[in-house]
Amino acid sequence: MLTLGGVGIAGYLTYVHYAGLRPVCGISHGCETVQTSSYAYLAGVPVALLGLLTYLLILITVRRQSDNALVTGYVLSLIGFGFSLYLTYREVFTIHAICSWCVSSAIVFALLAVVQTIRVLGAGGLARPAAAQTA
Amino acid sequence: MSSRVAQKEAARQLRMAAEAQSNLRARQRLHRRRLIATLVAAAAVVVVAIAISSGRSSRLTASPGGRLSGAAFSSGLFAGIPQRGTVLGRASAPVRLVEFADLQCPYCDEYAVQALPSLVANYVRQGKLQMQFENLSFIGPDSVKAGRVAAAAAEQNRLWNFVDLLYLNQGQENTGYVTASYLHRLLAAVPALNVSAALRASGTPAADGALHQASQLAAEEGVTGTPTFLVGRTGRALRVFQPASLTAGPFESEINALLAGVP
Repeated sequence: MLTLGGVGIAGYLTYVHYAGLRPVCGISHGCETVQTSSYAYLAGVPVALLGLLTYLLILITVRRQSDNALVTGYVLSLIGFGFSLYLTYREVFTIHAICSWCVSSAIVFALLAVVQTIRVLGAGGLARPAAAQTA
Repeated sequence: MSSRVAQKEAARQLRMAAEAQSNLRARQRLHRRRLIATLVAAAAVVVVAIAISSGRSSRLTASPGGRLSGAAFSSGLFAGIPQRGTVLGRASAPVRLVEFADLQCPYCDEYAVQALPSLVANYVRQGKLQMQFENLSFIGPDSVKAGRVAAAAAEQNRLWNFVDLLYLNQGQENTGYVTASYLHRLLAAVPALNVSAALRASGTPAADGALHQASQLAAEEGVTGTPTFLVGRTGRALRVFQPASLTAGPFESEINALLAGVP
């Protein structure tokens, strides 16, 4: 559910970006400022698109039951969470504008990181013998 | 006899329990190691992404052989917006914003990165604002070299693309990073610009004349540092605007007030 929410948010921002539309922003009015800042790109690629790809990959990993999928999903969640923290910092202290969609995505990544950490620690899955792994 | 069997069985059980415990410890160690490796890998990716995003590493190490950052972003920002010499935006735009800047000035760079994209997207592109860039090349020889090329880009109505790209790839002041190769790469990344013609034009007296003209205008307006901004309704006298920060917010408030007719 969380991942689907993330796909929805990042998908909307990606669509808005490529369609050249203004994102619906609610009370904060900072979405367009954030979306048009140079921080909305990473190596020339829109961050919204990178977020969407990350969420889709996490979605694939949670549907698979192997240890590799568990680890990959965990790493992606941590990367998403870490980079979202950085982008939120940039919004508050550099751009001085808050994008509610970006904050929602950061919250989803934070929750995903928590859930995936619980899965990894709970399953002890990172150390299961290879023979016991399910494809 | 049966007691020896029982003893053997007990010893076997003890051995198995010890093995099980040792296996458990080994798995726990493996688990910990893989967990740490996972965390380190994720942290490394995040650090690299942050370094790329902030662009600081590429700016500080800007070198003739280095890769340009922000070319796609910059060309998209100005695509379809009219440029005439040093002016960006429609002549009919009701508000004018003039910036006096040096291409090596780090605060001008801060403004270009933090505020400019939003102002261009929300005001210039909408026909509400026209912007003018006056190039003061006073920080050092690198400023003058880049300034001449900016003047040449203005002759082809591509000054804003060149200047923005330069700010996105700005190096440390007066380190000699503005080389022929660096300038060539910047010009080559500007859409619809004749690079050879621009390089030729940058060596002509007209390029020096453009820099001189900007300095004269700055002296007339009492400009003493960069960036300095003048703002006002188009066709009326402009006044100095001192933003609270070099982010989009203060500029947007000022422009909105002017658009609303507040004097």
